[in-house]
Amino acid sequence: MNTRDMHLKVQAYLDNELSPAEARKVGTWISSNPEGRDLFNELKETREILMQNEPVLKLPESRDFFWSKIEREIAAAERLPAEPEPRPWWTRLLAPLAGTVALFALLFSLVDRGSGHMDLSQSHDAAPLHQLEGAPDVSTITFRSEAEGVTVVWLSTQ
Amino acid sequence: MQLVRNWALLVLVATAFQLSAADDAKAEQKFAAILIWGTDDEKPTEKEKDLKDVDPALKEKFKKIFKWKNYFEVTRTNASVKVGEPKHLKLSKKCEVKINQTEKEGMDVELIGENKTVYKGKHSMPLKDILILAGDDKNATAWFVVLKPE
Repeated sequence: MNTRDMHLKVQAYLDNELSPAEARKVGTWISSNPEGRDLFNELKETREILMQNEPVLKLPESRDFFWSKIEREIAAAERLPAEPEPRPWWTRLLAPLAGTVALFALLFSLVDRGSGHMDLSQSHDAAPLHQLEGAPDVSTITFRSEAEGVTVVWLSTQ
Repeated sequence: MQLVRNWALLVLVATAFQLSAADDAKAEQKFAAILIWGTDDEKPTEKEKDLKDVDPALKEKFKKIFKWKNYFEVTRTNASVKVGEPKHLKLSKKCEVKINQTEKEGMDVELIGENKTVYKGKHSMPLKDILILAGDDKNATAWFVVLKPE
């Protein structure tokens, strides 16, 4: 048996993966061979270090709550309307033209035709184009834990 | 014959009384409205008197669902709601809850924060679950408004 095979056998011995007969054979080799003993000890230490330092990822919230959030995100994404079809190429040319026309229309509306001066005071009396609503935009996630008999509505401001 | 008539009358009155009591119980919902603050820090010394420990059963539920280490009761109000009698509960200077029980549509709950409605929702009646309305607060803390059936 070559060295590589022996290394694999020692690793398997350490992991309790060998048959009783093979385990006895490898055990004898380890106890009688200094190289085998060193290899066994090294693999054992490596295994222990890995086991002790394996990172454990802990969710900051309960498993149910975590998955229900994902479920709701998926449902919300599915409810989004499909993307509109791309507009025809000529609308791209028309857009800057329409913008220019609108700008000129605005300038003409502000210019006093008699004197040719702009009447800025007019803008003070003009009604606002739109009004923003005062209510904050709040989104909610609802979660129910049957086990705990609790319904949670989580409110987040955006 | 007179004895039988008296017994029948007694049974009738008792049944009517029982039905009326059952109706009252069905229509009325008693619960505690509790404002809770969740934090990873210990109780601030300056708020030692204002903050109470959350009752152990509720705290246990909170620990299973939310991530904060400590939960403190800020205020608690007991209330009962009947159909057609909306209740307005003030839990703190900034936090109010309006509850309106309707016969067909369940219970409307409105949460008001700093005089603005931040949440409105309908919940089935009678309220069996504990309802918790919650959100993030400053310094990685959180607030919870708990409506607990009693």
